Amino acid sequence: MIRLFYIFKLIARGLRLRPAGSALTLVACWFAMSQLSLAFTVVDIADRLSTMPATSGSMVAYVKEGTPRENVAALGNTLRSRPEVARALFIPRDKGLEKMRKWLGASNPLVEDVDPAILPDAFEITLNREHAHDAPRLAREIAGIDGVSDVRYRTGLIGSIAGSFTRIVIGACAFGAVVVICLMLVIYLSIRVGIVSRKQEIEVMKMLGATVAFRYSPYLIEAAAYGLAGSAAALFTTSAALGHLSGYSAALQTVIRPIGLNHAASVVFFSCFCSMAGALLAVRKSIDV
Amino acid sequence: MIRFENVTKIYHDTVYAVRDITLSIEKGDLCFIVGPSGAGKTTLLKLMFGMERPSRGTVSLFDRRTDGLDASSIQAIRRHTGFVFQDYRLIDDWTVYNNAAIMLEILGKPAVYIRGRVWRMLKWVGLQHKVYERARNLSGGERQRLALVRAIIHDPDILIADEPVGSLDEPMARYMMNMFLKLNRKGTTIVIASHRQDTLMEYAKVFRMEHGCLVEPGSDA
Repeated sequence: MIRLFYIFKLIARGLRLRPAGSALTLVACWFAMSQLSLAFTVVDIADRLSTMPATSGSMVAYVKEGTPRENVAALGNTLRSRPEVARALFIPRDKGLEKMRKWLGASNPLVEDVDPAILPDAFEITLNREHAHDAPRLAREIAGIDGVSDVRYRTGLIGSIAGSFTRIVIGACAFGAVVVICLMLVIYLSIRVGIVSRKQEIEVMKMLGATVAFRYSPYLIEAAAYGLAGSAAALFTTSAALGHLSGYSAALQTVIRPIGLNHAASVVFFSCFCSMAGALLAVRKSIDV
Repeated sequence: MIRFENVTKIYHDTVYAVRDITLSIEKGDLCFIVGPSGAGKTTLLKLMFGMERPSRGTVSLFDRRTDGLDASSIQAIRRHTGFVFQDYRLIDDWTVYNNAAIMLEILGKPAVYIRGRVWRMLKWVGLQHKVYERARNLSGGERQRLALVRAIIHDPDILIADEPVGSLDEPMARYMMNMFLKLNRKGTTIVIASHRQDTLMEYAKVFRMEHGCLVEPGSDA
């Protein structure tokens, strides 16, 4: 059995041999994992925005004045039967006014002495996340349904972010793939340099009968250590940056949440996996050095 | 223990390093391979250690033919063998202690055992005051002694030594040769390549080589 103490001794010797190279590898690892962590955060924010009320993920369909109650119920069923609609909640005019008072404040002159009868009945529609980007078309189609007088939905920056969830996920995946390939390449080069600079001792070990595992396991463990340390540092800095950012306003606090366990576990997993894969490639390339 | 049958080693298709050698070394033998420089002694030792494969013929180590063995089996054989290289093959950046301990680390011996054994062996060859010195800073004689310690520290079944006392002064060379004799009396099979005569040869089986051929196979000197 290869003793861990001996492996750590070899790793420490390697770090002493090339301290600048090791530090640079660690910085590269931290940088790559910070990027990956930020990509996860962007997906998380887009996901949260797409399911929040008052974004393009939701819209309000106003019912035509004078529509009979039974037709309103049928209209609700028609809306709910659409595959794009996750939820269609009927809001009677008095409840609508209540809601407006809640949003704007009861003393707001816009709603202070308003007669509830002036407002139309409405349906608050929440779209499925994958159709959030299609709000304009859906609004046109819903406006064409008999009994609907008007459809309103949120536009602007937040609306367009929420509406682009699928594109954001695809972009984050592509970006994440580039980041992990870069990380793999950095670790590959770093470990390869380490192996080449210690060619003499590897040759002697081979000559003395050391197994492949004995000769190369220190490099794999060194790579895993880079991955772990880099991801820990990246999670710490990303978390600190997000905490700082969300402290600017209450609105940001609802959108930017602390890094979750899944997010952290994914970053650590990808970091260790890519580091070890890069090291394994370097070892395989050097196995007959 | 070591058996060569009609072994020939050819380099670059034309250079015959050893030619049609048949020999047998049994457990507990003390053997000398003597001959002038370029006679093929080092190649013969490399064939014994599994560092070279024969071009023709068969080499058997521990009653196993080496031509059918994979790399991991050759490595396993090497772990039971000690080899003192002509050029020492020490790890220059490592300390004397680490160079001496590496074989025991490879074998996975406990740290306490390694520490005690390395100190005893280094003291035995007079290197105890150089324990934390880098191998590159040692003199030729010190390097040779360290290479010897590394080769025998794990009590190998076979010790193969290529010119093991070539860089030592006469008293140290004598001391080392006596040590080989002691090891052999403890049961270690020893094969030594040397270009010079030694009084130890009177106790040994001597193979004399010239131009890659055995001219005196296993005779007394």
